[in-house]
Formats: sequence, C-alpha cells, structure tokens
Amino acid sequence: MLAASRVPVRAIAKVAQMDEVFEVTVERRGDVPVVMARGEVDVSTAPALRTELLSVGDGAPFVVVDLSGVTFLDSTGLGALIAARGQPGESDGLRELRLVVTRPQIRKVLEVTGLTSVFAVHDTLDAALAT
Amino acid sequence: MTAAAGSGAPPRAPGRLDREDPGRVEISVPSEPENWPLLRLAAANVAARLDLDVETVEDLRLAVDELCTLCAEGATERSRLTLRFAIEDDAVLVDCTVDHLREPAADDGSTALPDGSSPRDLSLMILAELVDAHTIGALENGSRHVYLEMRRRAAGS
Repeated sequence: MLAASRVPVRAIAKVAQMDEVFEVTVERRGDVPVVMARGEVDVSTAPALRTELLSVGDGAPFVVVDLSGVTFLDSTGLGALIAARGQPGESDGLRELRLVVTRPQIRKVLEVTGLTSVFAVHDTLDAALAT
Repeated sequence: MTAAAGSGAPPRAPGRLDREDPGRVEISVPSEPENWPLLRLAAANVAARLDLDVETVEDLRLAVDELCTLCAEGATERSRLTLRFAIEDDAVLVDCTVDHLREPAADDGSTALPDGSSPRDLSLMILAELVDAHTIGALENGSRHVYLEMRRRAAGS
C-alpha cells in the first residue's frame, strides 16, 4: 500500500513498541534447545511460553530460556518456568533450566520470589551455554 | 478471608477509595487477561504523575498486574474489572473491583506447580515484597475488592 509506505519508520517502531507483541521461538545450539521469548509474559501470553518449554528438551543436557527480550514477567510467567522445570529428565527428575536475564526488573521478580536459587541465572547466552 | 500485608499504618479497607475524588483515574474493562496490558499502562501513567523513579514505576506495573489477577479469580463472561487510582501525598492508592464472579471450586491441587506452590502464592509473594500495603478482600455477593498502596521511596532505598 502506497499510504503505508509513507508512514515514517519511527512511527512504525513506536506502534510496535506500544503493542508489545509477544513472541517465542526455539533454536538449537548443538544439543541444547534455546527458547527465546520476547515481549511481555503475563496471564494471556504465559501459556504459549509454557507450551513451548514443555515441547523441547527431551534428551538435552539442559534447556536455555533466553529472557533478554522480555520486558515484563509476572507470576504466571514464573509459573510457566516452574512447570517446565518439573518435567522428568535428569537424575533428580527435574530438568535443568538456565535463564538469560539482562533487565533488572526481570531479575528482581525472580529474586523476590526466591527463584534465583532455583534457576541458574546468567547475563548472556554464551554464559548460559557454557558447561 | 482477607489478607493484608505491609508496614506502617494499616491499609484502608478495599473498595473504600473515595469514589467522588475528582482527581481519581478510573478504568473499567471486561475482566479478560487480554486487557491486562491496558491496566499496566494506566498504572505507569499514574505513577508518572507522582514523578516516581523508573524502578518504582516498574514495580507498580507488576503489582497492579498481580492485584488484578488475584481480584479476577473466578471471573465469568459477564465480569467487569474496575480499577481506580488516586494520588495522596506521596503515595499511589489503587483499588480494584471485579463483579459477577463465581464461587471458586474446591482446591483439588490441579493448579499446583511442581514445587507445591500455587500461582496465587507467587502473586502474594510479589505483592508482599513490592508494595507498602495491600488487602485482598473476600468474595462477597459475587464481587471482590482488592487494594494496594505504593509510596514514593527515598533515593537509594
């Protein structure tokens, strides 16, 4: 559409930011699935994250959940992470989830709920992948 | 059952925020999770009026999100959520009401997380840590009222 092409790039970016589209994708780094989430994880989007987390990881030594693109995470998002960890897998019957967290607010919600002692939290994807 | 937490003066009862306050901000939406981003946006805008720091604004957004989730337990197709904000001295006061709620089913443990906690436990933990006071009202006549207060923090606290 000609009209749409005239919209300044800055305006398009702003609309995208206001809408804060949630997206979750999965890629593999060797044997390790990396689940990358972007946007806001709340009561309406957490089920999609949970579904994706539960669909990966069979036979993998651990799963990395990259939350560096997540701008908001509430209790339902935390519930998705806890549920994914509770699947049968490694020796203790729980899967190892390694989180990549760069935003202070996301780290804070993990801290206030005591989950930094449950999940290994890393600053970068490379650090999370390192054994 | 009513839960309350916080420090300092006891929180006012939920649903008692002055509904005639001409300065109040009020938003009413269908009680559906798709509307939660709108409620968080309203919280951030109100917080900006008090010139709160970025961290406190983010905390308020999260606290309001959790407050609404707790308030909307048992929501039906007819339920509406009404959120009211007021600024008093150096605090943001938030009152939330949801109507046409159904009685909660007996807890059969189906929503429990693998670690034994429930999503509600996590919400209450977050509220207890982030806000200065909160009150979760009981279900009465198909409605529930909840309330929180967040005060401006001293720099570096």
